[in-house]
Amino acid sequence: MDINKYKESGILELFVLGSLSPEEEQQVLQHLKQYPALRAELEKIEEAMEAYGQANAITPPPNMEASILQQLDPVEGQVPPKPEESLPGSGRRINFNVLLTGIAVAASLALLTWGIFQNTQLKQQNTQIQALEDNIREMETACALETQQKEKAELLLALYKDPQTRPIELSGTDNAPEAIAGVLWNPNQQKTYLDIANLPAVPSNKQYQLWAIVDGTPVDMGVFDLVIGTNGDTFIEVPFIEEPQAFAITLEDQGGSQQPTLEEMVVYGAV
Amino acid sequence: MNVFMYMNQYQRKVSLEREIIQLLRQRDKQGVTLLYQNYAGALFGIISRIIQSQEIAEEVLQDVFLKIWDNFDKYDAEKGRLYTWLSQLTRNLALDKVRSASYRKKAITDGFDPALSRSEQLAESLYMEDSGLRKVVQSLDKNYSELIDYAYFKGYAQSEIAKELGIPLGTVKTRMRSAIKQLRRILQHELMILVLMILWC
Repeated sequence: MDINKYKESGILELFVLGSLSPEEEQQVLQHLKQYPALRAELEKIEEAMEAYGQANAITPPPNMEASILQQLDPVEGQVPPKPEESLPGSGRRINFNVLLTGIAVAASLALLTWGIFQNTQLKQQNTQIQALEDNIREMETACALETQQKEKAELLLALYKDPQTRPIELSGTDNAPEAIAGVLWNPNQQKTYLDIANLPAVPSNKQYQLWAIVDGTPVDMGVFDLVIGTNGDTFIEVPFIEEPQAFAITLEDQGGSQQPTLEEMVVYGAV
Repeated sequence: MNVFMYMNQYQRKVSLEREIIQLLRQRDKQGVTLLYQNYAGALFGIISRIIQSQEIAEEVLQDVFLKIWDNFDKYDAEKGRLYTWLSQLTRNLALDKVRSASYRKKAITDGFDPALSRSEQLAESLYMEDSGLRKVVQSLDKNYSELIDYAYFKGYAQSEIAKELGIPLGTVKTRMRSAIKQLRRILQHELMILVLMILWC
């Protein structure tokens, strides 16, 4: 057989392309066995084919590789050969029972740990909440106080501005020559305020008492303590009375007395 | 590329092929990964020249890999190299798909002619680009040039040529082989394959 002619016939190309009938293919295989030169030629053709195929390759979409591999999974189990045997390379015969138990144990442990963690967290959170609530209460109290003081300050301001307000100065007596007190008396608003800023301190068993002289008679206006407001507020509100002629403060026993102890008068001022 | 580089590349290619074959014979999925990395593009190229719909082409690629995986025991190294077997399998699957009802349905919805291969679409542009080749083909005996004209430039399948020219399919085949024989004398190896690849589809 003329090898060159055989080559030139193009039959090897057609063989590579798979275009020959089974009989023709068999013939070619026979010839390939007989003539190594033909085999070499065949290899060249195959290489050229592959080179051409690679040169004209089109990259499939990126997700294809994963779907193809996934697709092969179920097929695996259906392979006829020996289910008992496990090939060294493949090792895919997993004992599912062991695996499931393992997973269950791991899951339980995880759940338990998580549960404990959650509990600790919860306790922490409760403590935090308590602290926050306490804080809020404190702030509310402080806020209320502030509001009170603000209101008082506003009142006093209004009082001062009001032309109807009569300021009465109570000057110190011989008992306390340096003492001064002030009264803001407003018949319009029906309010009376006493400024206690410059009154001397009181012995522990005594208390100051305010009197208003009306129709020549002293009227009890109540006892008070020298408590100065947090913002330096020295005014205390006292009962309102119509047509006072004078105001006086005496030092009495704790709780006050029905009649003023005139010897213990500290300040006095006529309206 | 000098001889050593070529030999090196060649050897690497051979050992890679051997590795893939071994892995696939053992049904090791690593074999599929290697197969994909090295051949998926080339095979998808073959499919895409036959199947006009991208969607269906992707389906066919999946089918190809599944078939390779299921039928690898049928691969006979005696008959040829790995790529030869892969490409033949791919081509056959793609052609089967073209003849399927689902493909015809898709053609209707997507608006293309299922009878045409995608390479026929290419033929138009190829016709313009390969005027040099055309001249060469025209220098062949009239019978042969006519055949190649139909097959290459118009993308007819051999059976379609037989119908068109009113000659038996066997005659078409015989003449085609002779035409190739003549072409071989004229063209280089690689170019020959180029022509054959177009004719093939």
